[in-house]
Amino acid sequence: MNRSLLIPAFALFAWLWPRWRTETWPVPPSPDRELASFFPERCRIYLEGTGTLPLLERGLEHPFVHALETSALGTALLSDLPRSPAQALAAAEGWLGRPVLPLIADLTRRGVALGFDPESKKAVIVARGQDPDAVAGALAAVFDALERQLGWPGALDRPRERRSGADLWALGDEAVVARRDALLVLGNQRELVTDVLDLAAEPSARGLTDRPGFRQQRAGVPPGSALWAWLELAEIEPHADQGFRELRAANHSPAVQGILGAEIGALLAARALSATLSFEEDRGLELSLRAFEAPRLVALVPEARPGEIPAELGADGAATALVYRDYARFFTQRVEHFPPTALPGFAEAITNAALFFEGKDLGEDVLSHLSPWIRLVSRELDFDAGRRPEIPLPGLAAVAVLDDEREGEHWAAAFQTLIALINVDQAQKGGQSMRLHLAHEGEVEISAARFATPVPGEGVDLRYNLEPALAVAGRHLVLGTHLSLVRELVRELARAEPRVPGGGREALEVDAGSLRALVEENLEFLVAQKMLEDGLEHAAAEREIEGLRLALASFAGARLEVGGTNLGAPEVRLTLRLARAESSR
Amino acid sequence: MSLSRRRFLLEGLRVTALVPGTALLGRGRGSVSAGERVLVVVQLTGGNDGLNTVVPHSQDAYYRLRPTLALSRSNLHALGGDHGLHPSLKELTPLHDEGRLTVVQGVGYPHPDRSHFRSLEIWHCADPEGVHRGTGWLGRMADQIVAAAPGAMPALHVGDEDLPLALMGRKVSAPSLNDERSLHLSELPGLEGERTNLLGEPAGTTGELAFLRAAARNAYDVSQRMERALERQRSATYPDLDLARKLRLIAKLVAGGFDTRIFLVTLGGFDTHARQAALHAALLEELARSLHAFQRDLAASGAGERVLTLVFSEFGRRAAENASRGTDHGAAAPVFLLGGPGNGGLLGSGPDLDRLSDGDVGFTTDFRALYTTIERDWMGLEPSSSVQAFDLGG
Amino acid sequence: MTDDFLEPWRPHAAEWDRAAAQHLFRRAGFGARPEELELALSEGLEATLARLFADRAAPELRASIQPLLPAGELELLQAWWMALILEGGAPLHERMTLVWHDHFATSNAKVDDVRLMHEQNELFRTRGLGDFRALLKSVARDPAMLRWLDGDSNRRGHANENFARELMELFAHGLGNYGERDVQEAARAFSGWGISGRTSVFRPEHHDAGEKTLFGRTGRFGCDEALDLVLEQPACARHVACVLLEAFVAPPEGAWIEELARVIREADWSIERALRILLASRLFFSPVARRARIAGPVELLAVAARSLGARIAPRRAAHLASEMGQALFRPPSVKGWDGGRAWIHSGSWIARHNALVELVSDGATEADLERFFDSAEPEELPASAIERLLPEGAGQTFTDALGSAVRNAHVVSGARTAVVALVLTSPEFQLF
Repeated sequence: MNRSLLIPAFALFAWLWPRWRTETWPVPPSPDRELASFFPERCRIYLEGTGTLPLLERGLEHPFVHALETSALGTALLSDLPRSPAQALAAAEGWLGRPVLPLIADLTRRGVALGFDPESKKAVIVARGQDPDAVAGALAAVFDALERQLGWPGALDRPRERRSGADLWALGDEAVVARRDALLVLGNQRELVTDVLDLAAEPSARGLTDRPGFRQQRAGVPPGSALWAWLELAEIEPHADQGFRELRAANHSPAVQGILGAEIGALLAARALSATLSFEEDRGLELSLRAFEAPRLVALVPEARPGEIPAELGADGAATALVYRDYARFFTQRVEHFPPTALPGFAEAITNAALFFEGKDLGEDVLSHLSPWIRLVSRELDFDAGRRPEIPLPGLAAVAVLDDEREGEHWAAAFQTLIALINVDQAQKGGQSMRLHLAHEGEVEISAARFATPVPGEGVDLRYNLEPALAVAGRHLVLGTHLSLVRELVRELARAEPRVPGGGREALEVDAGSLRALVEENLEFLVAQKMLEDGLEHAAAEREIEGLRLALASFAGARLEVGGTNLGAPEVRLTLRLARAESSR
Repeated sequence: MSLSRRRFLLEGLRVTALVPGTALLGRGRGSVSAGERVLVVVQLTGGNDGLNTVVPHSQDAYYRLRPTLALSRSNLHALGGDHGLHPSLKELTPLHDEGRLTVVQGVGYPHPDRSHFRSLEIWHCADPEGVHRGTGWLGRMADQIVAAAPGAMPALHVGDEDLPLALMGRKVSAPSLNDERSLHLSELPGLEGERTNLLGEPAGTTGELAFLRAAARNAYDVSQRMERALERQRSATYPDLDLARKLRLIAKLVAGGFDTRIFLVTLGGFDTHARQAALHAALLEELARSLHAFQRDLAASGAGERVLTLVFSEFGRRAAENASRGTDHGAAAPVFLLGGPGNGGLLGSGPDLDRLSDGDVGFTTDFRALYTTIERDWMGLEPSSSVQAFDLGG
Repeated sequence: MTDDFLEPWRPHAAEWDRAAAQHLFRRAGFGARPEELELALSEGLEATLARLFADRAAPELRASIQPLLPAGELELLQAWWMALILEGGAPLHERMTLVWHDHFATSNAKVDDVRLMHEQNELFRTRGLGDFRALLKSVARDPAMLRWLDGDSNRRGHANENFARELMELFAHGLGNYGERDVQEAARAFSGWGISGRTSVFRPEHHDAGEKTLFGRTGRFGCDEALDLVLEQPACARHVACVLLEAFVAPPEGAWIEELARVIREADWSIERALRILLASRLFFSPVARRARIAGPVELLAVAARSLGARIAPRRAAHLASEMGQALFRPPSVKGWDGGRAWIHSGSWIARHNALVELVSDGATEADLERFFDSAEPEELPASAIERLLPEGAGQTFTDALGSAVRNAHVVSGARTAVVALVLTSPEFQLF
């Protein structure tokens, strides 16, 4: 051979060899390789079934599934369906020729995940089994069933093409299915599927695991969780609608910071979110959200200004919460945290508040005496005779801690001034005014206001749910929508001292039973309203409200916890507890 | 001679004959006939503190009466030798320098009422003789426009508050619009062509059917013009403020050839009884920036000469500050006019703080005189009250 | 029009056609569902009229407002009334209630009490077709009316003339049929009424019991006596006749007013008897009355929905009607809604268009439209739509436009929707 041809020939060979080798002798992807490494980076939403295998293997016997089935709502929904879940599974088995759940379990024994590209709005699913033959056999069974169903015998016998060591079949216009050994790829965009196959063929490919924060968040997923999701919010934003963008910007909205708090606000604006779903046997489920690179407003989080925590209150009631809201800093540092368009609102609030607080600055001179930890309580109310509203609602109260007991006088005076001003305004419009009066609970004085008792037989309107009251018990400031609730809380706080700073965790606890009782009390109102809103017949509206009632009856309650982990990243944990079967009717 | 030019001459002659000294033809504004002119009314609700808006800084009494609220002369924007504009009204100074800003001082009415509701009602109804019960001055103008051109939408309230009394006429009840989406036509795809054919009028249709067909054609036409107006790229950028958003909508409608001639918007929050300084500054800044962007936008789309903007409040505030570093309800206050006839400047008599009437700045110009000027000389309609017109110069 | 225009119209079988039946249903009620129209055609005019007068509102629907009143939300009250109009089963009663609501126009903007507005509405519903004299006396004492026209602050020595003036100018006589003195004296007679809780009470200590001279008669008149004097004046029966003629026929002419006024007096002020005569009369069915009125927002939506046999959520319907310029329970002033051409300007036309398009695309299901057209072939759709929705007919250009829309549609369901949308939004449809 001519020597001068040797080098180019060798170069050509060196270039061709890896490709030829991959195509002719494909190396199976390692069974331990991370599933996420198969997904191209443009899959900004990633969902992995980290613990779906136990669910598939136990099927309807899984404690959580069973508990749902036998719950009040479950029973009602299922009785509407033509077939029970067991019957539906049996029918599917008949269609497939094999038991369904074990088949899916075989296909996903070593993992299953879904990736979604928000730009093209297309998705791809990767399932990895243990045994290549078992996977091949399962796929063949599905194809057979499909061929029988659609009347195309033999249409899917041969793959349409071969690529990166995998066989590809086209299903319809867009869907593509591919198998490579024990790996199954299914997507509604050909390009996505081929990208996955290419990544699978490349042993050192990293796919999604290269994304900033991915590895770290994946490592933090507790074992035993059922599903894990990764959402790269920052990359999704350009392809999302206006509502999503507004949500992302909400971190700097005074309303969001004021109501949802700094942690949740930061969560919304995070670069990426990691979400985990776990089932706790038959007791309930837990959804946990963790943020990656979340822009917390550090001056407004608990570590910034620790404060005393109001004493614990009784847990009965529709809802209780402990929140951290440094409203003083909202005002004193508003220029740093909030956009210029929000500032006139603050200026107006300061001007108006100055009317009640003897001309003092709301942020610097009033709110600064309050600890940022606030307890919120919602309970059913005790109404006086002749004053029970026809639509009774639970009352709501807030308890905060003053640094000096004497500050309480300013608040009481402000409350009384506010009521007086509201009355003046109402008088100009010809509306009803509230009578200010003082009540006592033990040694504690309560400022309260109430509308005149309605004439018997004339109906008790919604506004009679409101009998605002304010009291200062020791250093606890109590402000509530109804006097009876404030009295209760004053009694409970009688000997209590505020807790020292440190160890506080924001949490909200909701009792489903109380909510269900609320729906039951106001059933007629809800049904009548639904009839008018949706144009339904009485029976149909009743069914829908009953569905709501059953849903509430199926749960015992919910708990939302907010707070950062050791990594300092904002985290939110939502736990839903199922009701015990006996107590849920 | 073309029809429009003849029309303008006749209009111009009729108007100039009535009001000597008003040179509508003077600065090229005569190319717009009265029938095309637009009035935009901006209401400052709550009682704007006129003394801190147009400051009589050369009077010692000002500093004496307002120890904490008085604005120092060096921060003001000069308005003639003795007066200055609040620092936050910075964006109005270019308009003043161009002669497009007129400030009329001491505007009010006899026996001032200090109730928000009552005083607003007085400004809205402009009915000292109690003749036009239940209607407002803008509504009465709208009635006249509709009488001449039935099916038109002569007046529009931009905002989501209840319809203000000023816009209620005997025949017309102006619609409220908060969002340009309300004028968007929702159509099933592909029906525009058939609809136009359907409205093709065979000869001989009279009465209600003819009226409806004309109104329908007009409405679809208006909607199309609206869509085109909205699509057009605007050169002026508006600040992200509520008032600016509303004024931008108005500018789009005017530039888009909408037939509405009267607009009303409100900016609230001026009732500053305590700790006035920061809030008043924020509100005046919103006002100035929004008006500035609005005027620039109108000028860019060639509608600048057609639009007169009136800024008023239901009363001013007391000359002396109160104990909470705020001010209480007062009486007369300055009124702003942007565009329109005249060459701008400071008109009317400024407040004399040594001769207050019961602690208030007394009125020297009846607001109904301004209304007459606007109704008759600017809009070319019959004025509602018999008060003599105010000379805006020119 | 000859003198016997109030004589009953006795149509031949061919004259009692779709157009005539539609005309009756659209004026006396809120249009007819397809099955109701077929029934009317087969039963004939007399039986249909009898049915209209006999129907009463479905009790459960009527009572369904009770649990909602404590919430004090006007939108719920508006939705409830819309529900009664759309499917309450007593269209004539609801039409009459709407007529009285417009006539004795009271707005919640000042009354600010949903229960009181509901009470007034029920007053119109129960007494609207009865003796007008009793209705007028009840209205004078109605708490919502007292609050609206300051009747509750009309006291001895401190008279408030608001109610007396609006009574004479708008409710009973019309401008020019009374003098200033009459207003003042009547105001004194109405003094002493107030509201306690939510009921009207008469307080003798606040009543001006002195002698008054009203319409030439002198005496210590109280509320009812003053109202009797008002009713006695010839202008009163004429005014009521005007109200009925404007609401049901067309802008009235002198001769009609005189004749109908006479009928009203002879019927002892029974609105029902007068209406039975008016709705059966030759005048009512004459060409001058057909397609003579521009439909108002509430009736437009209701007739459109019912004619199609489609459902629209009552709350949404009430909201759309407000956008179109008729917010139930919130008339713009005590003059009510001017109606006629005043309903129409560019903004309100667009609102009507959008509301009707929404009705066709969201409210009416495919099944509804299929049923409406009786499974007609695409080529038959234009004629079918015109026959069912515009029985008075339409021009050739109109039919051609519909035909073109059908040809451009890809599927039959699209063609049906297009045809119905074009017809409903046309000027022809909006003339009732």
